[in-house]
Amino acid sequence: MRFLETFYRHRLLAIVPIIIGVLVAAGYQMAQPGSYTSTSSLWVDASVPGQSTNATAGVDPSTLEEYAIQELLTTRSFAIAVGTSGPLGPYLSSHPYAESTGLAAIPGLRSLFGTAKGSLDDQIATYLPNMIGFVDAGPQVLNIIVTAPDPTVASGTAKALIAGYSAQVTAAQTATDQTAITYYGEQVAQAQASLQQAQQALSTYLAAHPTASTAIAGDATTTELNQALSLDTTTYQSLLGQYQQAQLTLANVNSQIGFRVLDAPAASGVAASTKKKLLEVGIAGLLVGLLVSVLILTALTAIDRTARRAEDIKRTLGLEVAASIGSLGKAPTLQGGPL
Amino acid sequence: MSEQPIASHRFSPVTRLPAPKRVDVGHDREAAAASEANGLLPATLLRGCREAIQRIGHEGPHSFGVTSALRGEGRSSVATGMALVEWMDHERRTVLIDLDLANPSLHQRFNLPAGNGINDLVDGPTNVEDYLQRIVGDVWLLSAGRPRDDVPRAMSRFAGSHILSQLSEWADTIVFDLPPLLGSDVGVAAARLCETPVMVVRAGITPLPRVKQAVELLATPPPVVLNGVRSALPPWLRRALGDAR
Repeated sequence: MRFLETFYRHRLLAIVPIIIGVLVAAGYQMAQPGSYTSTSSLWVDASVPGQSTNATAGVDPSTLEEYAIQELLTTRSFAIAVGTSGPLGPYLSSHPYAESTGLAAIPGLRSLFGTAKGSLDDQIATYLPNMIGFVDAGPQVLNIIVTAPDPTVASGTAKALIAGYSAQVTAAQTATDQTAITYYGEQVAQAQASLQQAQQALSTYLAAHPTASTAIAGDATTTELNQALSLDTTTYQSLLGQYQQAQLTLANVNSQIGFRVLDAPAASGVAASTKKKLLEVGIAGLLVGLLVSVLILTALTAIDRTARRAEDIKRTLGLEVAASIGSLGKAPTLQGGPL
Repeated sequence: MSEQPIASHRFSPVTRLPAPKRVDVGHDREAAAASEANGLLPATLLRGCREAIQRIGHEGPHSFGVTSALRGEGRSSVATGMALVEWMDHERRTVLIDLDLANPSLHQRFNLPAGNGINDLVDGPTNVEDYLQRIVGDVWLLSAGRPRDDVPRAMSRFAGSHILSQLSEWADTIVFDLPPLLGSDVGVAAARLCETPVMVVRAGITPLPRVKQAVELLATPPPVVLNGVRSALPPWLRRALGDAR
């Protein structure tokens, strides 16, 4: 009851924090940079090359792809490569406060809440990871959402990200294939030498024993040399096949990056819903203002040590109240009320 | 003792003590005086004073002392209201005494001259009837008189004089407008002069700890008149909360 009395007595004081909260929240949101999103969809054929381990067994390919891209985004070199290959770098050069958000986005408060500007690379490395978001649409479809203050920057950065990631996967795959080629090349050389030695040994023996090849019962040494030759031939052909496979894989590395683009980033990004954001922030401001208002009224109620009603006198002082006289706001009347 | 029509002497100092018997001034004249008394104070205040007197209750000669913890709580208004109600409702001859000798104000309230009052009475053997001024009907004012610096001495002399006994014999009810208990040097001494001190508390203004401090100065817990009560809640909400006032 006293709280309600305090509220009605200080209505303005109760309402002002709420109004201020909403206005500040709306102003805050209006001062934030524009937000445009560009979404692209990838079809992930298989798990990321080189990442297939027991630890990732059972995880959707799209999820593994997302992890891989996020992991790369944490590296400074990859972020800078994406930023500089796309429109983000030039945009940050021409808009030095584009990455400022929150209170730092408000022009008058930049000096108080803004952080010191580093080099362009530093800005890209800091800003880019915050621009990228992922949504797994299914086991094999991964949506990449890029948010930027400019639609061209959003779509361009999305393209640069996909291209950069593709290059990274290609490089990793090329390195793996190159290693395989080197390995199998050496193995093929060794097998070839061994095969030649086996052929040489058989030829030498047959030359020394001309009847050995025509003997009915067969010659044990000839048989042994033939078997060795056959084994070396098999080994050689097997290694040669693997070597050629590795060469083929390397030759086709560009088509084996593990994903393909279903929906390319749109040329112009889609503006994020300003009204929705404004509504959300406005409600937040309203709630904060309401909280402040309640705190103020609670404090006012708590510090009010006066008697408002007869019950206050009885409860606090234990005195009997003989009468309660209403407020004398009106001037005395010449003819009073009825006796 | 020559009798003069009461109505014709309104706002004029009396020159001699009126007769203790009721003066029959006629129904029309009395009704006119009652109507005039009603116009002196807001009806809300008169209703509250009436309620207070009914609850306190008394028979025969009596004296109320209206005091408060601090200044500005409505002592003089409540004292005036109680004096008027005593006459209007109970036909009691009532004397309203302005005992706030340091800051007298009652005479101004009724557009009466400050004239001679208690501060002059206590200095010599003078008839109290020469100092009474009619307010309305059978309600009389004994004002504080000329301002003086030695208020405690004047209060002490007043307490030791026969002024109160004379007034008690002449009037049915005496209502004291007392100085505040905490805001005056003579508040407690003045409160001891009356039979029933009444504490006025200004709703929403006077801190209750100060009221408690003032009440502790009195011999007995006084009845309280809560003045200026005003709920900020809209009527519909008061009804919904079961607060009928």
